[in-house]
Amino acid sequence: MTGATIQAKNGVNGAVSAVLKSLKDSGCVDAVLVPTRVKSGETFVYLLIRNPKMLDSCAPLPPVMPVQGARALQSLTRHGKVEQTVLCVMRPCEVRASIELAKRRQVDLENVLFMSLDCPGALRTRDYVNDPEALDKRYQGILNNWEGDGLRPTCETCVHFSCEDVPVDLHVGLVGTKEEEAVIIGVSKRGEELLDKAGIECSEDVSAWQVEVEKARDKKAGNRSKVVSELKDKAAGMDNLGLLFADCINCHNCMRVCPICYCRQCFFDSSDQVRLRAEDYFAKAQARGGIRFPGDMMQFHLGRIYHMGLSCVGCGACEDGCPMDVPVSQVFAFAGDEVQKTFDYVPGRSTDEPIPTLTYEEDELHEYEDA
Amino acid sequence: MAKIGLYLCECGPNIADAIDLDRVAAEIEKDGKVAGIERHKLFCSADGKKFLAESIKKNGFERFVIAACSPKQHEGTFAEVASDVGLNPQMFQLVNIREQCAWTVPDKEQATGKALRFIRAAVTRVQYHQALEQKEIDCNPDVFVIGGGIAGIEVALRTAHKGRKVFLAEKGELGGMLKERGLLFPAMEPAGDFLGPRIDALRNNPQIELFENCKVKEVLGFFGSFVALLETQEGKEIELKAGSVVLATGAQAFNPKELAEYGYGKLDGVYTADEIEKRGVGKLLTESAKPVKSVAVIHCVGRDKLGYCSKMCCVNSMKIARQIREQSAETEVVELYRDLCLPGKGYDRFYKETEAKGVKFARFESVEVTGGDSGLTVKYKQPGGTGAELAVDMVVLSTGLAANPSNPELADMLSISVDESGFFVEEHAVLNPVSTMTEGVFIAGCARGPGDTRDTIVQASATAGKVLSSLVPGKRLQLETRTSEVSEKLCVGCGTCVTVCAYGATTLDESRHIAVVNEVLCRGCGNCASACPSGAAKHRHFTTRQLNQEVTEILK
Repeated sequence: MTGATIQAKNGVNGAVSAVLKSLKDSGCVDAVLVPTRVKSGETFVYLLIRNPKMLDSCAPLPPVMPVQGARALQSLTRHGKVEQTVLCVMRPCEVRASIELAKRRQVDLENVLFMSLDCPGALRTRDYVNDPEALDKRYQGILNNWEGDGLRPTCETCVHFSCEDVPVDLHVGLVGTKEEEAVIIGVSKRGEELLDKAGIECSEDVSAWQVEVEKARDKKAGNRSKVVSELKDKAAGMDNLGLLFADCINCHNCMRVCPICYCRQCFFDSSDQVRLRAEDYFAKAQARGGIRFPGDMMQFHLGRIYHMGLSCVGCGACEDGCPMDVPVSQVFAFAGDEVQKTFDYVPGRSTDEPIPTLTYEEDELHEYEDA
Repeated sequence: MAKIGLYLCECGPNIADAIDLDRVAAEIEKDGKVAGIERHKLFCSADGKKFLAESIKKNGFERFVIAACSPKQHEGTFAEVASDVGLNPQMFQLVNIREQCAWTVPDKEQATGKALRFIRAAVTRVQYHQALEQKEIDCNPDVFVIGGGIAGIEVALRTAHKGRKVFLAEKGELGGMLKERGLLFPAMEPAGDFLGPRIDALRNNPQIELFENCKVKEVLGFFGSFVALLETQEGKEIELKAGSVVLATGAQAFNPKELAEYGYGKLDGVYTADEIEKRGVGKLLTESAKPVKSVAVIHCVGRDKLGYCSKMCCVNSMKIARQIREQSAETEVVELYRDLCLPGKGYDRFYKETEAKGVKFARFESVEVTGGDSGLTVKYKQPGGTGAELAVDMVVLSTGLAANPSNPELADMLSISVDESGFFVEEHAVLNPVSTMTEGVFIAGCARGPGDTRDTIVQASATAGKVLSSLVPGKRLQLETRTSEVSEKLCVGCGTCVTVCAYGATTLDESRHIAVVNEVLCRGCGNCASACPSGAAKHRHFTTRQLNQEVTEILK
């Protein structure tokens, strides 16, 4: 793999914004979908930018992820392909969520290009809005040292923070690069052509960066197995699971911010089909002594895990959006890991990989058969 | 709340002995959800059905639950009773307390408890049943024949009548294996004299539509209403509708290239029987560089590899041997055989006639063909183990018949099977040899296994008879009532239901970006409803509400 060093004297955002400008100037890209800081300063939104001048203020790697990029792309392409070439600048998990949505026909990838960046993780949005200045500084520290406090728990265990298993066209490598420097790589053929047209020559060997990515991944993988094994005890059985979700207030925010929960109306919001008649609740209360209300809280979470666990990319949007700090994302990661392993499925890896539950294989899953 | 009646069937001693029906009746009565409870020795008997009908009418029940046997056995029976008394056939629930309780739970107390749960669940569920409309369509009497060999041609000619169209698709040219045959045994008539007029008749029949050089891409639907999609060589798609499908895909000669012992493809003068026929025996003898004074015909080529005797090759090779003798009396012909297969009328006589024409026969256990400057040498082991050798100018390989390689793909489309050799599997090898496990899908000719032309004609006639008697024009076809539907309001067009539908009944409406269900194709399996995450796809008789209430009651 080869790439080109780009100068990051004005930070990562400045360096990437310069690349974006030259891509836009070369005419291969009509518009850029990229996070940008809102005027008031305390948060970030996705902007679809056509005016190159506006790229000056974009923030390709913001410290927080208030909107999952796949959701932004979904609202752009929901009704079919876009006629102009759009370059989406996203975190790897946002690209992967976009791929999962494309498999469900909620995103159309024609004329869409992806650029991702090595992602050290994101800070909690709620923490950030309280003190943007202090957290900006903290995030800069995390970017420099590739570790630090305050990252969302999900991000601490993320192994897809770089471009491996992420179908991007361009990638910006940050892990272990010299201070004030980054590398840009044309990952796909299309990406190589883009850089070529923009006059960015990619002939440098980037194996040093690759080694650093591996090291960082090992560390995150270690974190992941530790967290998962802890959670295994904490989440075993309905009673324990009930405790994990005990603080849930049924706001369904986790579903609303989830990039791959794509239903027009959630099954658990759409009707009272799953709710029981009063007399049945009384009977249940009679049998158990007492029951929690509203009654479908666990059913909602289990239903969502059942619907989306296989495709969960572990972006952590659910947990970030939870007002009660329920560890939704961690439970999803735990359940998702198991089921993804069962089907040898990596969500978001490739649009060519069909969703396992929608494909019929005659010869599989024998371990679940009766002896 | 609707007035619900409960009927408990004793099923002779089957249920009465294993379940305490008195207790069941008492407890359900206590629940106060049913308006009446009756029991009978055997509800499915004529007497039982009459009792049931009269009781429903007398009590004015609007819905009923019947606790008896498996719905597979008698759901239809009781649906008829419901219809007869003026209820919609969906307005009852059959609870299986025989197979699921009486026969499988040995302890009477436990069996009774389980039956009670199931019955309570049904009493709850039946309140949510919705009346569904029984729809009917005209049965399509047209026939779709796949394959334009003699089998397909015969079926087409015999089924095409006034009021019934026949569509015949052939991936190449008409005529199949027969168009390359010289003479037909045992009468030794030119195959062309027989095939030519039939193809003409096919082309001139206004009821027959031919699709030559067309590939079958997809077949959807069921008996009485199939929809096939063809693709022309130019990539154009053609859709046609028919009531039944006939598979007449034929077979092909085994290719002996993969068997090194015959030297086929390497040695000059080694031909397959098919090649000889294609080129013409006379032509081959006269055009040969040096006079052909001796010929060895080797039988059973490919028999071990194929795993079966192809039945037609022994007599076919004798036909070639006779032709050689007739056209060149000084040419010696030796037939090397392993076993002679001469079944049926006229074939043994054909063998004797062949012998009388001076064709020699010798038996072998194994054989090898080698080449040299002077010609070909056939080394073979005779029964008993002694070796023998023949120096010949020409070798004819009598090859068997292999299945058409496109059979598995077609079998997949039509939900039938192919056997280990690649031939279509019949509904029953002895009793139903031309029908398949899918109603309305038939087989004719070598598609079901190797045979000669006579076999093929016999089968094609049988197939045509089956088609004609089952597809009578004017017949009405009842559609599945318990189908699925997709809510336009909730669907986001993700295509999940389209992927899991085994009947091709759900498709995406690209303009509205939602899924739609074709009610004619839908068989009500419910795959779509269970896979749809938002509940937009819904099964009319297994709604979330019905299932949720039922399961909740069982788990109480």
